[in-house]
Amino acid sequence: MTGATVTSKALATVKWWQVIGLAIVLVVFPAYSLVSLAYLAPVLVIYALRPDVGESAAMPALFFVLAVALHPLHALWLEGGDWATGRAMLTDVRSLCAVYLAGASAWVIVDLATMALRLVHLRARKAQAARLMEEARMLRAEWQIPEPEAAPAEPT
Amino acid sequence: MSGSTADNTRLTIGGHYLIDLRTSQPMLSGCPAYRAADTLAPGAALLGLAPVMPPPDFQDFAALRHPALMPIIVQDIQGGALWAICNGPPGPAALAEGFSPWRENHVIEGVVRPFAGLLQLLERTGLTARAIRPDNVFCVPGSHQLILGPLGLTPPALHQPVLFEPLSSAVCQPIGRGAGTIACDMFSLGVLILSLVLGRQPLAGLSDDEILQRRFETGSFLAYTDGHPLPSALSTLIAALLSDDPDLRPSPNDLVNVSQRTVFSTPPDIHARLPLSVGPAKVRTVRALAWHAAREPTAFSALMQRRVIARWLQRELEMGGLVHAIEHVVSDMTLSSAAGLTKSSDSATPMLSRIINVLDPAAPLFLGGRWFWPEALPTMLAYAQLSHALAGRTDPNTEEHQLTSILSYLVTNGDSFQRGTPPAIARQIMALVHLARRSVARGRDRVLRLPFDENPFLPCLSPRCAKARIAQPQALLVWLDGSKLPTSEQVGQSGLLDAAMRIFFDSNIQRRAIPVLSHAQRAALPTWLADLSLLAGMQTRFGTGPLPAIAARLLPDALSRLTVWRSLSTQKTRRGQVQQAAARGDLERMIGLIEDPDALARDAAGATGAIDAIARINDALESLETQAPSAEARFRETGNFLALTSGIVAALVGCWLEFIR
Repeated sequence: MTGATVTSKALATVKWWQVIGLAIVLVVFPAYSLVSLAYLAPVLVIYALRPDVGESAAMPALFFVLAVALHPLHALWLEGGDWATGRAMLTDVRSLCAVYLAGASAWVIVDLATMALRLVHLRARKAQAARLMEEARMLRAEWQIPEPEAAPAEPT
Repeated sequence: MSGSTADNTRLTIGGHYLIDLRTSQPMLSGCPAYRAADTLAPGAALLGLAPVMPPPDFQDFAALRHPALMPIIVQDIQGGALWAICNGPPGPAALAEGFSPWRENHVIEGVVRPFAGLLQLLERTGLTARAIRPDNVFCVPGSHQLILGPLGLTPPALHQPVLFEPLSSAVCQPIGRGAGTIACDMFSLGVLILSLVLGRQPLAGLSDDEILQRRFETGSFLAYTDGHPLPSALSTLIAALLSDDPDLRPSPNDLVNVSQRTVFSTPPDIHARLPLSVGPAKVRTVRALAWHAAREPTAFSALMQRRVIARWLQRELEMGGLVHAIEHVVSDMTLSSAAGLTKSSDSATPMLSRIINVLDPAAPLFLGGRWFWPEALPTMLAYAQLSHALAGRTDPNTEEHQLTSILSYLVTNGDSFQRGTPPAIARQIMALVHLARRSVARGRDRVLRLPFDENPFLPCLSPRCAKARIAQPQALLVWLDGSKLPTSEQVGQSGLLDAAMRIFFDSNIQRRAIPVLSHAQRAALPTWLADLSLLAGMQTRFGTGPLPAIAARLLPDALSRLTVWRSLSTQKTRRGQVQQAAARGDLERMIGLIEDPDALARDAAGATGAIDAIARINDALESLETQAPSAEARFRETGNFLALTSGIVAALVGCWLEFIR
């Protein structure tokens, strides 16, 4: 399943009133909605590119983006949703980069945490397997039970 | 056990009698003798006697007291061997070379009456002396008195010369004579009196076989007097005592008050005018016929079949009843062997044996080519083993083998001897059968054990310890521990004990009801282990103290036995414990450690448990592998959760920074 098909599938679920609602919002609050869309782009990208992760990876990204984007959005709010301010914000590469980095960091954190967990767990499992095999070896030695022909393979 | 050994050459018996083993004295009563002294009353010339094969009723003999008998002063068991103390002979042997004939009144006062009194006492006690012979009758110095050497130190009549034995036991080999009856002692007394009166022993210089020939030819009395009438008033007494028919001899009661004027009448034997030729021999009496039948069985059976014997008995001896009795025996035996009633495959010998006993009811049993009294059989068997052992021979003991076969035949076919056999023989065989039935052993062992079952004074007959005369199992244990034991390899193959020792121990175990594994239980074990269990049971029962040499010899096998334990650590612990027990010489502990069924069952259960545990571990290892994919999903969820949480925290921090600060 590729990102495009998922996107198209997601697009297929979009209802007509949602499109109309979005259009109304765009028309009424152009600055708010365009800035928000620009800021939420990484979430949408994650949502589209990581179908295996699904929305659960998009949610952390959403919060990270929110944490960084709160300041510019607050500033826009204080400006009264002024279009000029909005346009300036849309062209402010630094703040956009900061927001996108925040979104990407969510992705990184998810993968790093997963990887770290996997590593920790693998080591624990190896230790447990070694302990079990040592126990079996002791039992065999104590009770003089011969080793079976094919010893169980060590789990990797 | 009392007393103690100061060293190897001196023994203390009964607390205060000291035997010096370096001073060997002439045998007394057929028993090795050493000089002894009473430490409380020094000066008396005492003898320490070492009886090799005392009879079963030794205690009764030792308790006998009579003026005409040298008493056994003290008897004691030292190192498992029986010792007896008695006075030295008071004077020379009565029939020593060159003694002058005794006067009749001296014979009556100094010999007949006291000896009759002694025999009366023996008869009341149920014993027989069977020891009235030249070298066992001593003169009391200064008086015309004779005294008999101590009794009960050898198998009965073993050392009796053929001359002094009645025909009914003279035909037997010396060990096969048995205790006999008091009538046998009366015969010996008769020969003693005759010798004293004559001033010499009759038939001097003849071989035993020649003496027997002459006695069977003419009867003992005539043979001893050379057919000349005795110039003595004691003639009728001697003739009666020397009668070949035990029933015709006077009893001790008849002699205690005898005087020179007492006259005894003895009906003469019936002699045939025309002798019967049995082989080379000329036979004139039924008794001689019975004896020659055993010597010439082929000639005798040929004569039987041609009915020559029946005709001779009828015409010459007018014994028609005897002929009928013989024919009855023959038809009876033929019928029963045809009906398969006798268990023996060879019925010829028993038939001859029966006919001989019909011809001469006083004769002993003739079986397997030898004459013997059945009561003597266990002693004969023991004697055969003992002489074999003492001679240090290693070849198969054929004598023992033959006697074992005879004994086992009599014990299994005892019932068939109850009809048509003289009562004395039938009674003796039944006594053997009863003795054998009480035995828990079976087969050849049962027969080999009979001598020990019968006689608690019989020493162990193993070639290894026969010289030590050990008659007590506890003493044999101690002796074994100090003896040269077989090597560990030999122990592993054939055990620590030899067959004779096992038989000795088994008999003692049964007599004393010692709790050890039964013979059958031990048969299932390896020999060395059976020996260990036997010795351990003995050690515990008798409290013999540590037996480190035996333990050390059994240790390698005991340790190898531990390999049946599955658990290595148990093996190791027990190995150490067994080694410790062996060092302490504690056989019971050793066998308790290597033969522990409960612990072994627990060990086996532990091994099963370990196999199960290993199976569980393998399962766990496998499940570790299979849980990997499901874990992957969990990691991702956890990763997401972590990211979500940190996102929420970041958002909250952002809010706080933006709005509250």
